[in-house]
Amino acid sequence: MALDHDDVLACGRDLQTVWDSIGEPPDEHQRNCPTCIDARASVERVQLAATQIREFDRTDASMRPPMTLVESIMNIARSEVRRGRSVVLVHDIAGDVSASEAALAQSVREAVDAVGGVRAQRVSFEENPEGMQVRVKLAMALGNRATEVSEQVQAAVHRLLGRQLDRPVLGVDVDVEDVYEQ
Amino acid sequence: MSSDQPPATDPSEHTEARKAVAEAVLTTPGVTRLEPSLRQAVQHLALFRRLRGEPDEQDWELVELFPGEAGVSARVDIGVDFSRTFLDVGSEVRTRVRGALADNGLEVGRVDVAILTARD
Repeated sequence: MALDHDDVLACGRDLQTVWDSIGEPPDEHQRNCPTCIDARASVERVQLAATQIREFDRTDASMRPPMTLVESIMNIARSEVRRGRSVVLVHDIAGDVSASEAALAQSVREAVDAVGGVRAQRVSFEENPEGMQVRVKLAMALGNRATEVSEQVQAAVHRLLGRQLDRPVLGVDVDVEDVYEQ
Repeated sequence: MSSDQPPATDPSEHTEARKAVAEAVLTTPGVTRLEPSLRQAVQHLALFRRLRGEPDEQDWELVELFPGEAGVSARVDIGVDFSRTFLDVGSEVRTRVRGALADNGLEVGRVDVAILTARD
């Protein structure tokens, strides 16, 4: 198959045109042009080989990636998703310093658990131009008062994020979703 | 890696600078590890490396440098502990990375630091 440069054939047609016409009858030019006849035959051979290789891979178990590899890739992808969005802590000409929501959430969980009598369950953030709104869902030990515990959690999260983020924390919503026996 | 960044430099380039950056990052108090990006993680999967007969991954391989008009930019993803605030650790890492690049004779562009994980 004669190529002048890139994928333009000697007759002036490009190879992609020939490729796109495979599976359809050749047009008048392709029927009479030796270059195109040659190119068409070559492309048909490549396509047949590709089809055979794909079919071979599909039916030969040894050609499939091992489950450990698939699982490793999926674990990485899942962890990437779990990290969530990024919160920019510093943004200037020297570059950004940011933290993933997952890292911030873990930090908030630590602060909440340190309050005592509560266990943080889910932490989420909502950012807007004025600052950040935080929602903490938690389980509370029986015998505690929800209002007192909530105030302590709010204060702990405000203290923590005030240091971590250097930006206003607009509010900390606390949902007591569950209770547990100590 | 943000989509507007150019492709990372050839891995064989700036090896010494990347080693220096990795050391600067990992000796920053509060930093526990360099985190791989998704692309790096797939590239560096131990199984792939073993199949290719390559040695285990080195920390400096997780440092990504990008050529740019303003000089060489860097992207560093890290894990941290809770001994310091994210702001303090991230800012110090950025300063150290800039220093490490400059010490290796490179003109420094942007240095982006992302804290991806935090644990005790």
